[in-house]
Amino acid sequence: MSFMTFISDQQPEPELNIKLQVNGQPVHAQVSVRQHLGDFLRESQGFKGTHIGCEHGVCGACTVRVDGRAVRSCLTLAVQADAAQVFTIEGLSDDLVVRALQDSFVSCHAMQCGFCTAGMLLTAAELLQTQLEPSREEVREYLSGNYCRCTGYESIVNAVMDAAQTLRKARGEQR
Amino acid sequence: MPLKLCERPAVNSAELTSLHTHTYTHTHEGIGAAVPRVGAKRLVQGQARYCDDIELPRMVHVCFLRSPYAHARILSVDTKAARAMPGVVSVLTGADLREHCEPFLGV
Repeated sequence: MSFMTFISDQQPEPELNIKLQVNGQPVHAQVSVRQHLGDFLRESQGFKGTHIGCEHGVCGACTVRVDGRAVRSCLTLAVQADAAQVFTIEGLSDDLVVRALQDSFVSCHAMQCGFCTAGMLLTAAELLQTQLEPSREEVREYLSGNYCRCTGYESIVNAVMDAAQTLRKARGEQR
Repeated sequence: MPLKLCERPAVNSAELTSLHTHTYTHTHEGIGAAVPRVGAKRLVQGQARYCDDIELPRMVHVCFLRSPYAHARILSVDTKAARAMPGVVSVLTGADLREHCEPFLGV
């Protein structure tokens, strides 16, 4: 829960109704206008796979998918997600790209504590959706907004390269 | 057969110079083989449980207020406004803790 929640003045918090899709399910909710999307997903929707790290857009741990784009849920207000299609890591097991990345992250040992992993996967998935032949430098650049305090990134870049290779192979076989 | 990119290359001092190429041609079984990590799937699926994910009955949250001054003497702490806020269970200051423990220095 965010720190600011405790410093509220005693006025009742203004709230708004929002309608959106979370992991494919329709959701109607009344939210505080200043609640960010990350808290909304974790606390009111129970999707704890989205992790809140820095809460000011630096670490990338809270990255979720909103209308196809990877966004920081701590810098997005819940009310901004009105009418949007939101996916967290829990809802993306059927996504081919995310699936390939998950397998590669496991086989390449691309995480230790796993706190940053959901954000890494969603950001990397956004890259691989448009670029199946990235260079290591491109992967590093794309993931530069996601912090990992355990691995030193090398194994994460390996995993993304490995997933890209798997996806290229799968695409080749489809033809 | 060349190893997959991410498989751990064997450390062989004769071949150390080419380590970064990840193109070892021999694989291992048993000793020296890469072992899949137990529970790694849980981590990539967002199913792991961290402290902040835990919700318990009657759970309350704690919030620390630190001095806005880098170097100063605490003359008094007025907790009246904090205590008056809705939902506040308890407000503790250094004076309350002094009954239970000595200040720890040099941490």
